[in-house]
Order: sequence, then structure tokens, then C-alpha cells
Amino acid sequence: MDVLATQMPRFLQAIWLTIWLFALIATVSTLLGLVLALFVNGPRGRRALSVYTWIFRGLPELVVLLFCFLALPRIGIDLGAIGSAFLAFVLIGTAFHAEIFRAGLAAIDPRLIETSRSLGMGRMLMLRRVIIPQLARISVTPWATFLAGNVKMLSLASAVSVGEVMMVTRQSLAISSDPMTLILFAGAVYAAMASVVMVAELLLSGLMRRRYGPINGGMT
Amino acid sequence: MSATDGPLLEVAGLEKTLGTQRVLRGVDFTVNRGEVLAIIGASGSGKSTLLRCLNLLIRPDNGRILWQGREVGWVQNGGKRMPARERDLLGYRTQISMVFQSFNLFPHMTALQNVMEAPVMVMKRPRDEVRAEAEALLEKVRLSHRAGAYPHQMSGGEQQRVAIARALAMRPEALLFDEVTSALDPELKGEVLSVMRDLASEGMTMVSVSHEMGFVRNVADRVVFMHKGRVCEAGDPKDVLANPSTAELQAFVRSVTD
Repeated sequence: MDVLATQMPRFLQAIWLTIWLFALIATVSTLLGLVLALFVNGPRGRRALSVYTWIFRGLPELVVLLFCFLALPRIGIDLGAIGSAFLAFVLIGTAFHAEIFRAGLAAIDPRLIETSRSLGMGRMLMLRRVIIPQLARISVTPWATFLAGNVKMLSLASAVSVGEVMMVTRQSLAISSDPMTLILFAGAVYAAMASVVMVAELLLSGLMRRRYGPINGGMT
Repeated sequence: MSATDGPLLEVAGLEKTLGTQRVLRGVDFTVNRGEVLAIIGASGSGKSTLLRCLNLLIRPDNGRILWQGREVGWVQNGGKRMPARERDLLGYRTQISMVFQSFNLFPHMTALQNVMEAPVMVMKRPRDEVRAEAEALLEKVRLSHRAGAYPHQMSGGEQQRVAIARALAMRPEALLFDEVTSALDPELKGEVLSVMRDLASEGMTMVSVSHEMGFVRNVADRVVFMHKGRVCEAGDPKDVLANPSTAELQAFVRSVTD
């Protein structure tokens, strides 16, 4: 307990770092994933995207992280600890999000697309007014599910000395006689952040369901 | 032939193969301004594909579509006849708008927003002007009280009437109806058919794929009977349906009246 109290300022700093790093990674990888899912067309592009998502969904996060932190400097790209963590998690997150949105796009009722065309909508207008609103409904749950897991994945960044919550926890453990409290505290912090994402998703999808009815308008 | 004298829409030799299926095998007909044309035929006879070829949602493999005397869907490029690009078809589609069997309202928009969407976003007309017109259109389909409702809150009949208002909001020259009452319960068909009757009496040009023989007989000026991708019989519905000259139409009339 004593160590937790004395280390609290460092913990608060670490929590803040974890939150903004997570928010930044989530935003960038969501946008990149969306762009890839929407705009990579044609057989060759699709195949390249599949290879990319296959690699980064398949590799252990720690391997990608260590590669960015230890291997990239060898070829002259030194991003530092936070920069490496950011790059690694964006590479991984983008791969997942691209797949999530690609699946979501495939689930949009093709009749809504046909209707948009019959109303004279061009591709960009259709994307903005019809496809993305439908995609938001279909993909919000898998998207948030990945993000909630992603919060915990950030604890791996302690391996490359990013001063986030797990890093401070491990340092504190070294000088503490009460490891249980520290570990439970760290767990609670990650669980709380993941819970915020999960609760937000519940509220958001519930709101959309009440307002707009079932996904795809319940058309049969 | 000037644009106003000739037929509004003329179709000649239309052919379409989907997969291995030859859905349209040379279809010819014309639609005059203010005319109601009904297309009937058994399931799989090519009616819905034909309708989608008319506004080029589906591109025919062969044949010509003349709209007000001018060919649409193809462009001359260095002496070669090339399919027009999708974006060059958008303006045409706003002139010949379509109502679908499954309504296809945008689920994330209210009835009023659905009606306003194309005039505001596609045609870039001023929002206030469009709103007034959209409200008038909802009144015309007797749904003023549902303007703020989302599609999932409405009955099928209400949704289909909103869809008709949405099609009318583009101020089209002609309307295409693709079996618009087939997905509705019998008691809801009437409200949609009565809106269509009103439109016909106002002189709206309509092409309607329909299984409603009452509508075909009483509202359509002309009927086209499709069989295996061809026009098998055509003419005044009262004559054609009462005295079908081909065995195919005789069989069809028997099957829908039984």
C-alpha cells in the first residue's frame, strides 16, 4: 500500500499516457482501416491488403513491437520508445480495423446501394450519405470489441520501456513488499479503461437501435 | 423527330445475359409521355431486369434505349460505341426514378429526410424550398403525420408511399415501379395502388411491373406481356387480357386469376 501511495504521481502520469496513446492509436488505426476497406479495390489491391492484414493479425504483438523498437533503428529509423509503440499498434490495429470494416461493407444491404444509384448518387456521395452510416451501425460492435482488447495490449509497451501503467507497476513491484495490491491496481486500471469502451459501445448501439431500428432497417 | 413529339422512351433490341442466363432476348417497346405501361409476365420472364435496364441500373449487353429521342447509356468515342461511365448516367437516372418492391428507404433517415435526400444532396437544390416540396409530397401520399417517423416505425404500406414521394421529389419525367405491392399485406396494397392511380390520372408517365391484374386492367393504357425474355404480346389491357392470342398469355392469365 505504501509503495502505491508514494508512486501515485507516477501512476497518474502513466495512466494519462496510456489514455492518450490509446486514443491516438485507436483514432489513427480506425481511420486508416476505414480508408483501406473503402478505397482498396481491384483484385491486385485486394490481394495486397489481404497479405498485409494476414501478417499483422497473425504476428504476436510483442514481435511487431520489438521489431519497431530494436530492428528499425538498425536501418536508420529510430522512433524512440513511444514512437515505436505507436507504429507497432497502428500497424496491428489498422489490419484488424480494415478487416472489420471490410466485413461490415459486405453486410450492407445491396438494395440500399441500388437505391442510391437510382437516386442519381455518385460514389462519394453514396459513401458519405448511405454507406458510412450503415457501416457505423454494422461495425460498431466488432470495432469496439477489438478496441477494448487493444487497451490491454498496450501493457506490452512496457517491454520497450514506454512509461505506461504496466511499466510503472513493474518498477514499483521491485521495491514493494505488497505485490498483490500493485497488481490488482494495475489490473483495475486496464479493466476500467476497457470497460469505458465497452459501456460506450453498449450505449451507442442501443441508442442507434432505438432510433433507427434493426440493422439494415430490418428489410427482408 | 423532335424531343417532344416522339415517344418519351423507346427501347429496341434490348438483350441482357446474367451469368449464363439469357434474361432479355431482344425487347422492343415504346412509352409515350403521360402513358401508363404495365409489364406482366411469369416469374423469371425478365421483367425486373428489363425495368433496371431502363434507368441503366443494369447495363444491357445489346440494343438501344432512346430517351426523348436521344440514346442513353452509350457514347461515341473515336467512332467506337462505348458504354457510358456510371457518373454520366446519374443525371439521366434522376429523370426516370424508381420505386422498389422492398421499399428500400434509408433506415437512418426519417420519412421527410428520405424524401429530401436526392433533391438536396444530388440536385443541390436549396434546402428550404425542397423541404416545402417534400412536405407537400408527403401530404399527397397522405403521410403528413408520419414526416418525422423512421422507416422501422412505419408499416410496409406507409414505407412504400414514402418511397413514391421520394421518387417524385426528383421531379422525374417518368416513374418505374418494380412490383411495388408484392411485399405488402392485402389490406396495405390498396393505399399504395390508390396513390398510383392518382399519379396516373395526373398524367404521370409510368412503367409498372405488376401482378395486380385489377390495376393493369383499369389503370394501364397498355400492357406488355413478357415471356422468356421477349415481348410476347402487347396492347390495350382490356383486349389483351380478355382475349389473349398466344397460349403463353392464356396460361398466364389463367394462373393469376385462379
